[in-house]
Amino acid sequence: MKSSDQLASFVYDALNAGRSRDDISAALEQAGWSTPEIRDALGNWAEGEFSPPVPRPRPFVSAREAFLYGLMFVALAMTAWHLSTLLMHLIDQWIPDLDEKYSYYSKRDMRFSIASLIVFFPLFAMLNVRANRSIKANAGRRRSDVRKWFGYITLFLAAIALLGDLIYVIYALLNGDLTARFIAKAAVVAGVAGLIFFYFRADMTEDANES
Amino acid sequence: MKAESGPPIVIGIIVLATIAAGIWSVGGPATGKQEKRDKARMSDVRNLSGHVICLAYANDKVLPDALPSEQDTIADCAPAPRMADPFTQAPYVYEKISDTAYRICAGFEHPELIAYPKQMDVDAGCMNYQYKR
Repeated sequence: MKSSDQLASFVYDALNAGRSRDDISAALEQAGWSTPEIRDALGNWAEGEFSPPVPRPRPFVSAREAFLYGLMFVALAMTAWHLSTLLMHLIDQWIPDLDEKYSYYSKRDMRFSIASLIVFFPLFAMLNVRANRSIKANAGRRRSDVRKWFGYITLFLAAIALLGDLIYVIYALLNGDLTARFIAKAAVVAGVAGLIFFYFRADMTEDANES
Repeated sequence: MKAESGPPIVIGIIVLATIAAGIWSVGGPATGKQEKRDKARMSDVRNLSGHVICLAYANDKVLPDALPSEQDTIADCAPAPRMADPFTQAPYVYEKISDTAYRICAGFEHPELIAYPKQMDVDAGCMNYQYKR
């Protein structure tokens, strides 16, 4: 038996036996459980006189949610990736560099990025609207672990992209490579990653405040 | 959720604008077809260049003044490659510039996009080649 299961069953038994919450916390504290653990364990049961104790809704992992959020995550990643690629090719064209020449190879890349954006961006937008609507209709969805995980993975990747971009700008500056073209490309990465980062951070912070 | 509608609309506008700029820049399916034809022409020009080298080698390492027609080509270098544009039937043009240089011209539709910018004379649509004896 895991210790968290032991804790859960102890709290259930104690509440069932009619002990007060303060007594239970004091006993657990004495046994060495930390305050957040005690709060979580007690928080799993609704306060009130009803016996046996009434469980509170818990975060759940459903296959349907994993599918929807997984698809949304991939759609967002593809959108961000191809948006950046396409913008970089456009920058190559708009800010000519004598060292590199624009050729039909980059045209093929651009066509692929356009095709990917046409497929994945509407998909992301649609899934995002859907997810927000279902959260509004059912607050329990907010507690979904799947949603939280994909949100934080997105935040993590966006943060890594921002940090990598910053390192590269400093490196290029020291190396004397800080051309207009380079600055524009670094701004594209910062813009795309920053937009995603701040959007998802706002989303995740609201979750944290609510629970 | 306060962040619900602002950023998605901004992102939507950015994505749509980028797609539009991208399509405007690369052109539609017609441009793609032109590029495909140019690719075939470029392949013909390269084959012709190899043919020229072969002819020169058979001729005491002297560049020919003009290309023999497909029927008259010498046995060592037969069969001769395609001598005319398959799409417009216009013959490719071979020009001897000096004893060590020649060029082959074709009716490229987008010569600026050919992947050999150093050899390509964009205004004339000609590929410049060196011949080392």
